[in-house]
Amino acid sequence: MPNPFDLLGVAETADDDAIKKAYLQRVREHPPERDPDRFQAIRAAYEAIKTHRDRLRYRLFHQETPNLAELAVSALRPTGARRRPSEAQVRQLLNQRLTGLK
Amino acid sequence: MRKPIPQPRARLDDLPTRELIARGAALLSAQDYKDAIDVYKLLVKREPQTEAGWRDSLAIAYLERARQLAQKAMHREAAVLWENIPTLCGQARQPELYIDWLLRSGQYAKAMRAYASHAATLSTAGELEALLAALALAGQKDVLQAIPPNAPLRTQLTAAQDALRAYTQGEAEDAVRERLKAISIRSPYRDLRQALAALLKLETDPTGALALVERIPPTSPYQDLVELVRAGAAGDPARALLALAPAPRELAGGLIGLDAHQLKLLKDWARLGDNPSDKAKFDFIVANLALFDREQVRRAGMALLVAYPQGLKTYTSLFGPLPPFEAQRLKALQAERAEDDDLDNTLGHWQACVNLLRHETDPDSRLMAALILRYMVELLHKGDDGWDDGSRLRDCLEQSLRFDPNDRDTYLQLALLHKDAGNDKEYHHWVEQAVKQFPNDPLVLLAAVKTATARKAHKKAAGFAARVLELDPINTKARTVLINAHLAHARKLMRSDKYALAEKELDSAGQLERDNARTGIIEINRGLLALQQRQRDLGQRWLREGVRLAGSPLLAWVRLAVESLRLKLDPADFRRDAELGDPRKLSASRADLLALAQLFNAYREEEVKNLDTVLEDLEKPLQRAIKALTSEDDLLLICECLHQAPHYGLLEYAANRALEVQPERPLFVYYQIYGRAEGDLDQVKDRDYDRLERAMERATAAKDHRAATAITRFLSQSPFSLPFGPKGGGSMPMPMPMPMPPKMRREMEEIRKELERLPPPLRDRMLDQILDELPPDDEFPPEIQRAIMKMMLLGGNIEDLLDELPESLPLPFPGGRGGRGKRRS
Repeated sequence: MPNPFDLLGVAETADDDAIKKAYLQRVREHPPERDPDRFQAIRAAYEAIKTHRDRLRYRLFHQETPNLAELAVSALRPTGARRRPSEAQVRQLLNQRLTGLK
Repeated sequence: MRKPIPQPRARLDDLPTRELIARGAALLSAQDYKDAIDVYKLLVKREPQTEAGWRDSLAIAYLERARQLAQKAMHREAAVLWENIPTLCGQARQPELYIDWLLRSGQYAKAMRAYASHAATLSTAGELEALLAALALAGQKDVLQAIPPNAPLRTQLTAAQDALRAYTQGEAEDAVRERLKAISIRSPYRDLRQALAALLKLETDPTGALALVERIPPTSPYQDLVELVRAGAAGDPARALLALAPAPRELAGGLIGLDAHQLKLLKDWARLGDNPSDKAKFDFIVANLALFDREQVRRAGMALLVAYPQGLKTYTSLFGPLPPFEAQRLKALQAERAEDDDLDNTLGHWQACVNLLRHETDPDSRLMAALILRYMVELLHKGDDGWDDGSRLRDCLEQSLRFDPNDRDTYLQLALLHKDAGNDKEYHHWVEQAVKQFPNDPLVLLAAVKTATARKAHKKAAGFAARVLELDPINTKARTVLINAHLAHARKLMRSDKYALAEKELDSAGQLERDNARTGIIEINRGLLALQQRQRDLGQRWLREGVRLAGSPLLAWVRLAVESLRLKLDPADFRRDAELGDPRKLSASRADLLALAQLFNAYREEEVKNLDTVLEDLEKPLQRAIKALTSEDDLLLICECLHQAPHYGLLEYAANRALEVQPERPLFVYYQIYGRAEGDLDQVKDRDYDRLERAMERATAAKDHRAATAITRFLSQSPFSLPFGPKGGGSMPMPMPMPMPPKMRREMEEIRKELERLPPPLRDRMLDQILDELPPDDEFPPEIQRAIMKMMLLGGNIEDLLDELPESLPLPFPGGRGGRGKRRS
């Protein structure tokens, strides 16, 4: 199961109300009739952390490997100035694609 | 289509031309172009002047064979084959394929020349030209040298290069736009113009940039630039970035403004690959630590330590030492994950976690201790191998309630465990505790109804059921319990001749019964009450109403018989009053049989006795109905019902029928033999015993737990089974059946009786002699073998047997878990 906090888009410190609100919002975005698999995942995530007791239980026993993609995304918020690629980089990109035909 | 059998070359040369023509045509239609080439080459060689079209056929064979090679990515070979075609039939067939194969095999100069000579006839001239233009722009010398002087590929190249240089060297937007204008819309570099315009637009208007790249065809060589624009313009560019290939990902990172550290993270991400190891993941987060939220990355690192314990030193140096509880929790999770998962070791670590929390007073710590203990119960259930008598489970649950008394399910689980272990007092105690803690919980109150009913405290049970109905008026279970409680009380009053009070109880039961759920049971009791008071007409009316409501004569007879017997009356006395006729002549349908099974289940829940007596008079009609059954599921249901009743004769009959429908199904074999032996293992014949053993083997192999458990339970009836049951002869089934065949059992019984007759000193001497003469056994050490035999002959139980054995003995049980040593740890 993916990290339920990530799936619902809430902080690990979120309380019952915030989690319920996020859950309902996600269900609106992925209703069961349109996206049943996603809905099931959202439902499972909500069930895993909906009360304080559930959250304690999740923190004590969950063994899923952390979602590194989420972690990476969180670290990739643009901070510097935009930079255009160099001519060599564009040529290299073109070459890679075209000679990749081989 | 069947491939023709290839012929040796020597024989092909010997074939007359007529046959060769036929063979060539057959090979072409069978798509065997390789052999077709050989045949047509031979024909052309024999008669080069002929106008019979063999050259055309050979050209077709060459082209199709080249296609086949290209499909296998053998582009160079495909191109070589294609080159035969123009010389054969004087014209080039599908040169665009040839150019494509040349490009794919890196023969750019040749491709350029072929393009120049076939440009007018190419069906995909535009696409090929754009491809060659991109190669020229990328600096491919072979292409650049082969471009004819006045071709647009050469005349437009400088404009394209200028525009690219202007953009990449950071010239202002207007200046770059001016350069782009120099590339005409018919230019082979037009996709570059569009892509550069989009990249430029991305800096100020990402949505507009997306619109621009929509016009670039998906086959364009500039698709990587298109992907850059799409990632840069995405709502969450960071996420879109991770979906790109490594090279464009880095460029897109620059476009959206990532700094050098972030670009390094992207490189590390690329190195991780699709399925990184736990170590690689750990190293990745450590290497990019500064970019992550510290708390988030600490949790991720901690989570990884479960699978990658070697990272602990690094983790500690980065985040400081783990608090004692976290260190212990980590050990528990690691033990749980270990391949040689030892349940006792895991439980030991979790128990150590609880011990660390034991003296904490904050609510979260106490709740965590309770949750861990309940988790230990889950682990014990998962690892249950049948050896545990439930005491560890009960202990964990009791401990957990001391930390957190606010968990309904724990009370109910604990009560049920005590019930299963036969600890009635403890069972009632924990249900009472649950009621105290959750006085308004229907599930708890229903459990309380059950315990009160079991203790014959009908009034108390009715009180709990009434409370459930107050809370949940549509709770049918509570309603049924309440009705049954009134009925039970009414019967008690009728048996002590308190008819007026009994009538009031029946009125109360009647008020609770819903119109759409009437079963006739209240009416039958009213009828019996009236007849007890010698009110014959009234009694008959009530009984007939009861029969009508029962649904079918079969069910009506069963209800009347059960209710009469509960009042210690003979049902036959009321047959005429109820207008039921002779039960032996009743006819029963499949639906009646299934309804009967359901009714018997309900009676069993109410713990109604003597159901076998009720079935005596129904033997014939039930046999007729069973004979007509054809569904395996129906027969299973009926067998189960008769097994529970129990009615051995009917059970054997139903099992015989079931074995006709589904021969050798282990459960049906068991029912047949169980019925035939009237539930007594001693009455099982040797032949049936062998069948039962084979059925057990089949059930075990097919993982048919239901059949295996039933047979095991039956076989463990034997007084000479290895006595690995719980102390005090509790209800837990023996985990490993080790019964004896009937013949051996009879011999053992004879020896036992002989020993019993002897005076004690002589008996001990005889026993020693028997034990000394025991043959060696591969599975059990002599000490255990002697102890078991002694216990079989003199009686005793497993705990005493274990206590008598020296500590150093090897365990007799394969696998060891749950054996003596571990159970005590």
